[in-house]
This record gives sequence, structure tokens and C-alpha cells, in this order.
Amino acid sequence: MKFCAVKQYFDDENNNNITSGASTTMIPLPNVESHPLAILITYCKKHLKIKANNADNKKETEKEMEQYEQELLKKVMPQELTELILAANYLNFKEALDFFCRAVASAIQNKSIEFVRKFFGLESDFELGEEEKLREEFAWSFEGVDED
Amino acid sequence: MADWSQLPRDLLHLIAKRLKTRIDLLRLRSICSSWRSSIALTPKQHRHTPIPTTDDSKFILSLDLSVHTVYLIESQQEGSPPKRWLVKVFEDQHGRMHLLDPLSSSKVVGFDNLLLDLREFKVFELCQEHVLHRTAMYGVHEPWRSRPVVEVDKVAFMCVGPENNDFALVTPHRDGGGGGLAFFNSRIQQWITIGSHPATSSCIAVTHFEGKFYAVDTKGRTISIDQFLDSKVVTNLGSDAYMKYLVEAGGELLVVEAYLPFPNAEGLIGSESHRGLCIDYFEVSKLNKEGDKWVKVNSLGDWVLFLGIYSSFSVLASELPGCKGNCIVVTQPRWKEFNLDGHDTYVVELESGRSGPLENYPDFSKLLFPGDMGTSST
Repeated sequence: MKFCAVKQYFDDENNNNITSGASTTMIPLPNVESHPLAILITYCKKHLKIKANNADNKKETEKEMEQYEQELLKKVMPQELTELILAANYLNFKEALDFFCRAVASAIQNKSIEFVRKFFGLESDFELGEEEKLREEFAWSFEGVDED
Repeated sequence: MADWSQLPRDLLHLIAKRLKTRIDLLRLRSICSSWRSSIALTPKQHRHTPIPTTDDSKFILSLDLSVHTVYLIESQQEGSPPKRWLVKVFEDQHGRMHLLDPLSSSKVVGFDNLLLDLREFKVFELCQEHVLHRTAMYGVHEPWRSRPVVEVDKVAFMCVGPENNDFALVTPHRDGGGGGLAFFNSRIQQWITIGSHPATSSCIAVTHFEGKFYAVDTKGRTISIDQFLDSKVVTNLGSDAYMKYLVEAGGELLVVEAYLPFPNAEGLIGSESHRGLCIDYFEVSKLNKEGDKWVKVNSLGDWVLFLGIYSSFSVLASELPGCKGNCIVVTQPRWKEFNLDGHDTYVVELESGRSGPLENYPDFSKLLFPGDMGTSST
């Protein structure tokens, strides 16, 4: 289900019999900027289109969707991914949320901690004692002497 | 622009869940203290799992499943090309880490203590090897012999169940001889014997591939078994090869057959009088799409196969700096007065048929510890 939050709005509207036509309703989305919203709408439309084109072939749908997603990622700045994730989450758009989370995970996998910090624009705020605990988690310690 | 530090915890979890390796998770936890407290560290699975033994094994004290993991690690020094090493690591039930030889899986000793800070490396997890440690007490009635002995068996492992919380194992049947297999499911907690092969053959290779177990015996018989014990036969390879290995490469299951130069050459393997690789040549076949026939393969392309005692794995030559593809790296036991005295590793170039000890192939030998790790230890 796409854009669940929006659908919910429509359902509520219909129940209240306030408006008659979906095309003239303005839906307030205070937490979503226009740019990520535009991307999400495009993503949604593309997904529905691909699904319709490959009605019976689930594998084809997945393949085409993957290709589109790869193309989309090339156009999106890494920093925009936060907005997209927050927007997809607010709109309850599960597929897009899943996709953008996967995209972030791919972008940071097997990269150094410094790279990941720069990617998220965050800084280390660990105290000295905590840094030591971190070192332990990353330490591979091999004894060269046979215990036997 | 949105601030990542404001990312709600549940969204952070969604990202963390999509990280493929534990080390990536550790890195995400190391970004800042609030993320560290938000992301929980999942416990390591199947590090050391006790397995119930069969009822009629009076001598077996305990049976434990252990995991050995093969990693390709890369360190980068400023201004020089990245260096890579293949390491096989075993973490025992006390949390102690051991460095193992990637092929013989024997413990690597004789070096000064080594400490690797993984924050300084790129770490690629290549594969996992599972083994059964069987602690047996033979000669119970002979006090001078009653010392527990630990034997190691190769085993193929597969996660099963709706959330992959259970597992299934297949291992060459040990008790009572015969060429059969022993199958174990962690949900049922019982061993089942499969295969009605006559006692003249024994299962020599087992592996897990695309949701099924595959096993091949000395006679060249291959079967596939799924977790529900549905089995399928693959066309016979014949029994001329001295040794057979099962390995996955490029999404395909391969069987590698090692042939000796003449029928009784087996006695020469690794003996003191005949040092050097006793294998005359290797033949590689791949499993067809239908899963019922082995089809000969002429070249491995860019793949390098590492054939070990308990399991085998493959790596693309392009991932191994300076190494050629279409090669096999294989280990052979070394005997000294009828006692196992270690293993020797050889590199075989399939295209030319040339082979030699690992030392003759510096690009390969520096991959395996200690290689050229040199001053990486702190």
C-alpha cells in the first residue's frame, strides 16, 4: 500500500462527507518538503507502472524496479536520503522506506567509521572510557603460542 | 537539510537491519554515543553449539558444532596500493579468537601475539565453515589410554525454519562405517542416517548450495538432500579420482576431482620420500540448471578455488592483488613416520597444468598469514 497516510486522510474525508472529488482536495503534509515529496510521487508512479506492465511476472517487476532504483540513486545526493527516509516514514510508504534504508546501508557498508561519520554529518562524542570499550569490540586478538 | 542526529530510533533500526555483516553494525554503533545506545548488538550465532549424540555412541562424551569464518581483510597505507589477506578465524566458547590456516583449518602458531584493530581494515566476510568437534573417550577399561580425544568432522550447515532460527546438518556417517550420511535438524534434535551406500564407498565431500545439501562419495555418486530429506540423484562421476571437492563459485556448484598419476600413488601422498604435489591433474565440473547432471568445465575464468580439508571456497582473482584466475590452491597432508606432520599448500594453474608449492607463487603466499602482514601488529 502506497502513501498510507494520504489514503487514511481520504478515508477520513469520505467518512465525514466533506468533499466530493479527490482531485480538488488539498492535503496538508507539514512534515514533508516538496523536493522529497516529488521524488516519492515519481517513485510511486513508476512502481505502479512497472507492476501494471508486468502483471503476471513478479520476477520481471523486481528486475525492472531494481534497474529504476539504481538509476534513481545516481540522481539523489546522499544527504537527501535522510529527508527521503523521514518523508517515506511520515507518509507510511513502506516500499520507498525500505528502498531508501537499503540505499543508506549499501552506501555505508564496509566503509571506515570516519567516512560513515562524514556521511551522516555527525561527530564523535565518546568519552575516553567509552573509546576503550569500542576498541575492544573491534579487536581481533590472536595468541601465537599453542596452549597445549 | 535534515539533521541525521534527529533520526528517530526506529528508523535507525531499519537501516541497521539492512547491514549485512556484524562489523558494519559495530561501525554504525561507533558513530556517536546516542547511536551506540540505540543500536543493540545481536549475539553471535552458533559460535559453539552442543549437539546431542546418537544413542549407541558409548564413547562420545560430547559433540559440538563450531564455526570458522573466512574473511578477506584489506589495509590501506597512505600512498601505497591496498594490501589484502585471507584469514580464517575461529572464536571458541570462551570468546577467545584463534587464527586458522584457511585450507587445513589447523591453528596457526609460532608468531608473536597479533592484535588487529578492525577499524583500520576493510573486512569482507567470504564464507563460513562448520565443523563438528567430537570429544571421545576410548579405552575406558584401559586407564592408561583413557584420555579424551578430540576429532574433527566436516559438516554442511544450513539455516532452516521460518525465521532461520533452526539449522540442519549433514556429515559423512562415522559410526558403523558405510558411505551414508548423518542428518541432524536442530528442531527435532535427533540424528537420522541417510543413504544406503554399500560399505565400500564413503562420503568425502558435503556442502550446502541453494537451499539443499549435496554429498559426493568415493564412487562418484552424488545426491542432493533438502531439509525435508527429499533426495535427488546427480549423474555419477565415476570412482577414478583420488579426491573430490565441492565448492561454490559464481553462483554455481562445482565439483573438483583430483587424479593421481598412477593407481597406487596414494601411498606417496605427502610422504617423506616424495615431497611435492602428488596430484597429477584436476578436473572441474559444474552442476547443470536442472540439478541432475555434472557438466565438464574447461576453465574457471577469473575464479580461484581454495580447496581445504573440511570445506572449500572461491574468490575472484581480481579481488586478490596480483593473483591469476583459473587457479586452484590446495592443501596436501605431510606425513612423518606414519604421523600427520602438518599440511603443505600448492598452487595449480589449470590452463598450463603447472603447479608448485605456495612459496613459488609470492602473490598467493603473501595473502595467507603471515604473508606480508609485517608491521601491522600493534
